Amino acid sequence: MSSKLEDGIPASDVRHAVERLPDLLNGDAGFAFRARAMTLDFVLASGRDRFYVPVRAGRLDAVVHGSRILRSAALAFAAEPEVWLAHWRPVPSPGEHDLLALVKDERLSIEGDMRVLIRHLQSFKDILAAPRTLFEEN
Amino acid sequence: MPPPCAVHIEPITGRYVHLELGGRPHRVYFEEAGEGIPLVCLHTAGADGRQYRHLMTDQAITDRFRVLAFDMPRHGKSLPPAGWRDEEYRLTSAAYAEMVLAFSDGLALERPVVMGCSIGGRMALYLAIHHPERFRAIIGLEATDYQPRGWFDIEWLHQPDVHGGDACGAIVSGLFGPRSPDEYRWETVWGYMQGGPGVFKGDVWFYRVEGDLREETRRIDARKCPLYLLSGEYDFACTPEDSRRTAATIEGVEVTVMEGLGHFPMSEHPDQFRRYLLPVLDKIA
Repeated sequence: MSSKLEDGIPASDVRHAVERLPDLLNGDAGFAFRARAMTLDFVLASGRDRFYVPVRAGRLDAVVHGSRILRSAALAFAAEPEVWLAHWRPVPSPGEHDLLALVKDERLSIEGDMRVLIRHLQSFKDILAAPRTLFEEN
Repeated sequence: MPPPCAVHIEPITGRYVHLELGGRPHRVYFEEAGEGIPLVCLHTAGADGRQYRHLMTDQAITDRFRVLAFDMPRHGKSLPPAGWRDEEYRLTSAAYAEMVLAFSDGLALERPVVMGCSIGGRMALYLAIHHPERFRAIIGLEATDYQPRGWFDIEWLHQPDVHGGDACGAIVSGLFGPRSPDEYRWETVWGYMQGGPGVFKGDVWFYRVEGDLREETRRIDARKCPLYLLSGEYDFACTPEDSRRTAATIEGVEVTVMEGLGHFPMSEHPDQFRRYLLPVLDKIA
């Protein structure tokens, strides 16, 4: 799959994509409205990499990369890099197109406060699918 | 079809029928369109009969079939029975079957075709087991004999500090094919967002817990009452593999995997769905 990232190394492509999340979402007025009550930090884990994603009233602050820093997070979404990249294909394959599908197949784990998850589930889905636009065919 | 922005009135009519269900009076809303063989359509859990609106405006169907879809009690425009406030709603196989049969009898439908999706697909299988003589043919959409319980806690579907509409909508929003039109996808989600408190959860109780048919599907004889199973390739609630596994126990059943579709074929991508449905209806007609 060719992509706008052009790195081709799964862990590196995931890092580039996750660090672009604020750019991808902060210009989206529809998302900002839907997620206006979302103020929390969550973790996206990709293999051994951990990324802290701060959300403040529907706006994403800069993503923090670091696997050993002490920092609180309400939830952690953990999968292998290949799983994230599969989820971000422009037209994902069956079973790779939704967070809950990945959970059911045990390819994604979600740990933390499930009340936070269910309250903001659509916003988490929107955030974690946003890198799809980066992987459109050139 | 006229362009959607032009003023026009759809050929769908909606009425209420009063039925006794579970020994209690119910006022049940239904919509219908078309003439010919009655085709009773069963909606998914936590939703209502609007999911079948596209079939009711498709002349290739309504020229030969009288398409009917009722809202189950507590769903859509069908009221809950008196006393609902003090009850936990849990759909059961027997109550659901009684509903379908009472609706068919109440409207004097003679050996209708029944088509159900998701929980409606489960009910389609149940009717094929227990009441095949009552139907001309049975179509199960996203139909599976059972659902594993563990991977999602359905208690989250009805919590006082969680917005039920937002939660139910977000849960189902990934059950669509990624190329299904956005307009129809979010319209379908809107239906979930409008559900009454605890209704989706009560339906899923039937789907996940009460309505396990694994020991019964082998009793189906699709030669007596034709049975068709159609499954969307992107449906992870009832996967194509679930439908194939179910069909493996049934004599004479036909299984079709619908490319690009998810859990709501009739409402998420009507044009793609009719490519699979029309050949089935041709066989039945």
